[in-house]
Amino acid sequence: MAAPTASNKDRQFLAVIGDEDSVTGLLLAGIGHVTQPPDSQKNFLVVDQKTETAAIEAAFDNFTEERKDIAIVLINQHVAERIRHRVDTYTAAFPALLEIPSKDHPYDPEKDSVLRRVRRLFGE
Amino acid sequence: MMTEIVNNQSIPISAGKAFQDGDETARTLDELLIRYLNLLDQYQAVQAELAQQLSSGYLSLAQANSSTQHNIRYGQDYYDARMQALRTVSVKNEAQETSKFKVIKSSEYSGVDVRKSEPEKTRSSLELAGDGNESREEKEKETESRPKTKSNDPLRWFGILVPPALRAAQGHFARAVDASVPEMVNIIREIESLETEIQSVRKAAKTTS
Repeated sequence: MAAPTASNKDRQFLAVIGDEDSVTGLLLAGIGHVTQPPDSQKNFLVVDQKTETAAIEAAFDNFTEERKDIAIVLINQHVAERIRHRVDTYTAAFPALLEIPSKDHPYDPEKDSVLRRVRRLFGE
Repeated sequence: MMTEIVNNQSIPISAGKAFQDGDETARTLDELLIRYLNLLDQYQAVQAELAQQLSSGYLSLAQANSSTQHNIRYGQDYYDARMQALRTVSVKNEAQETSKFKVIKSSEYSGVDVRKSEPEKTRSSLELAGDGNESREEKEKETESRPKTKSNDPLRWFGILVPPALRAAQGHFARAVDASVPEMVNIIREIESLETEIQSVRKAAKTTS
């Protein structure tokens, strides 16, 4: 569950895993951050068709588990689909996870994890 | 409709006596479910808002890309490898389920919101982000009189003269990040904690029957 308060205080960045336009747009909004060298850790991953699922998983793990400075992870819904099992079993309180539509994949209520939980709650 | 759900789901029809005991429980459950449905309503409204802002953003970005004569794609080739976040998150009540997320803007950000206030938190990141051949004081003086030359506005990654559509895209994404994103996150957390509550009330109702 929730990690100790002290560590959550340092959670200040948004992170994004998405296609190039999604990442570009969100970086334009100023969420992008690269930590000091030599680490130079980015808080974003640009995903295209060539991106291996393992790389998406690695970024997801990095943002949700390894790094303690991320508060919200944004992920394109269609990218989340590629690592659906990981996304659906993610239950930690921090960072918060939010699926967002992309240019080529508009919001699909069928894949919406909140709405799917609603269905489960009402015993479907 | 709501009572129907409650009765069907949580209280077995056969348990006649338990049904009376369960009156209180059923009422609690009703209230929880009403709150839950209201939240879902809010969730879908914010979801639609976010989708709208993002799709306007994507559209503007596409317009920006098609407006250049040099086949420039406004994308990852131009990201600044030393970028520092200008929009960050502040979390209230970190340790609790009731934590609230808020997105805060660095006051150094000249891109969309030009409101000025004394930068404090971002001082160090500004120094790191700057190119170093211009002192902070000079920079501050200059901001009033003429456009910044050393702005950390991400728009600058793409050159001095960017198409208006790119600026418009920035505005759409900025609004999404400022308002819809934290709102969505907060609503989802509330929904999740209500789900847990509803489930535990249901479980309690079952064990008493």
